[in-house]
Amino acid sequence: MQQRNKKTASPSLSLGNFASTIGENLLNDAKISTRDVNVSYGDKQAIYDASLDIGRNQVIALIGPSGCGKSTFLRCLNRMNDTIGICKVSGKLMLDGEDIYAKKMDPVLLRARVGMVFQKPNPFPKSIYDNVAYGPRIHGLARSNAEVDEIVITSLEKAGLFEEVKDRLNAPGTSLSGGQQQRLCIARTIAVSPEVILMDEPASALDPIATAIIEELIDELRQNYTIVIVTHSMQQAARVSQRTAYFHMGRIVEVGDTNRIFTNPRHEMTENYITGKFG
Amino acid sequence: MNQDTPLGGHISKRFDNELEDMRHQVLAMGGLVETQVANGLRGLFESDSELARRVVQDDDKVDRMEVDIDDQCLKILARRQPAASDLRLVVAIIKTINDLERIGDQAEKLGRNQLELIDDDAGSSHCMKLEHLGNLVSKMLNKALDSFARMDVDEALKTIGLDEKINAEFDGMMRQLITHMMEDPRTIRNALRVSWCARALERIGDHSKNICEHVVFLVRGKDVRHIGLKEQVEMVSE
Repeated sequence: MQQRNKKTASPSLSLGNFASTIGENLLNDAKISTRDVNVSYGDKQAIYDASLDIGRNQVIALIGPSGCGKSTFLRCLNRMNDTIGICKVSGKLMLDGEDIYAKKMDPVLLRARVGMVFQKPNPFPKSIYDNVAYGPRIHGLARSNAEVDEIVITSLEKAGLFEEVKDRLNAPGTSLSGGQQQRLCIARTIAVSPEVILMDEPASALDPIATAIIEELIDELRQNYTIVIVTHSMQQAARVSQRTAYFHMGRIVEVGDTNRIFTNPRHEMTENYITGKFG
Repeated sequence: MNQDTPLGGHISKRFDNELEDMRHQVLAMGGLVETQVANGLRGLFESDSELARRVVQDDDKVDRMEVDIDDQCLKILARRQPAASDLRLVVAIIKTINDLERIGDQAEKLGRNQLELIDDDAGSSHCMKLEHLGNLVSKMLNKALDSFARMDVDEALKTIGLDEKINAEFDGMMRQLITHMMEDPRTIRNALRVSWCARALERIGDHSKNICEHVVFLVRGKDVRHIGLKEQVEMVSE
C-alpha cells in the first residue's frame, strides 16, 4: 500500500497526466450516456469524473488494471451498487435519455432493461428451464405457459445453448459445464428482453473453447443488444469490441476505436498497459 | 533512440530481450546490405570482377538473415501477441527486412552486370557515370538505416526527400546512355548493362524510401505510403 501511495505522488502518474479523458469518449445517439460520474465507497473514491458514451448495438470493452474502477463503473449502469450501503454515486447516467438514478426509475425494471452476466456462472439451483423462465415469470412477460416455453426456447437458442440441452431441460442448471452454465446465464439475461447486457469478465473462468463460443455469441448478440464488457484479457477486448475504454486509478484515461487503441494508443498509460510495460 | 518508442520496460524481461535482439539483427542485416551495395559499386568503378563475384555469392547471407528474422517475428507474434508500439515494431521489421532483401538483390545485380561488362574504355567510362548516382543512393540507404536505428522520424522524412533527386539523376543518366547508343551502336551492349545497373540503383532508392516510411509507421503509427512528401510531412505533424 505504501508503495502504491508513493506511485500516486510520482510525477508520471500525477493526475495532471490523465485528469481528462483523451480520445473519442462521446458519441452521437448513444444508448447510455454518463457525465462526470463520481463514485465512492465511504471515504474511498473509486471513480473520478467519468464521462463516457456507450454506442447502440456495439460492444465496448472496459479494460484496466485491477482496482481501476472498471467493474464499479459497470455496476453503476444498472444500479447494482445500490445494494452496497456505503456506495455513493453522483453525476449523470442516462439510458436513452432517461435518468438511471431518477427516483421514479424502478431498479428492478432497470435491471431487466440492463441485464448483467457475472464472472462466475451463477445459475439458480433450479432446472435449466426454470433458470430461463424465472425472469419472464416474475416480470409478467408471458401470459401463458406456451409463451413461457417459447421465450425459454428462443432465449436458449440465442445463447447458442438450445441444441446442447434440448433433451434435458429439467436437469439442474448446475449440472452443465462451466461454459454451458455461462451461456445459460446469458440466456437467462436475454429472456427478459434487455436492451443492454453488462458482462463482468464473462469468460475468465472458462477454457479457450468455451471462451471462443462466448466471444462468438457476444458478436452475434451485438445485432440486437448493446454490450458493455469488462475484461482482463487484452486479446479478448481486441477481438470482441468495437470501442475500448482504458481505466486507471478511477479515471477513464483513453477511449477510442478498438483498432486504434490496440495499434496506436495516444496515452502513454494505455500504451504501457496493453504492451505489458511498467506504468 | 527516440523516446516515443522505447523497446524496453516490459514486465517480461525476456520480451524486452527478444525485441532488442530482433532489432539488432535488423541493424546487422542493414549493415551487410550496405556493404553489398558499396562492394557492388566498387566492383563496377574499379572493374574488380573478384569483388563483383563476392557480392553475387554473399547475397545468400542476406537471404538467410531475412528468413531468420522473419522466423523470429513469427514466434513473437505467436507467443507474445504484441500490441501497440510492439506490434508496430514487429510489422515494421517484417516489412523492412523485405526491403533490405530486395536491396540485396539489386546489389547482386550490380555484381552480375559487372561480370558481363566487356572490358574496354567505353565500358569503364560508362561505369564512371554511375558514380554520382551510386553515391546518392549509398547516402540515402545509409540515412534510411540510421533513421531506423535511431527511430528518428525527422531524419526519415528528410531521407524520403532524397528519392526525387535520385530519380532525376537516373532520368538524366538514361538520356545520356541513349545518346551514346545512338551515336555509336558498338557501345550498346555495355551501355545496356550500365543502364540496368542504374535501374538497380534507382530501385535501391525506392526501397530506402520504403524503409523510411516504415520508420514513420513504427514511431508515429501513421501510414504515409503512396502520398507525396508534402502530405507525409503534414500527416506526421498532425
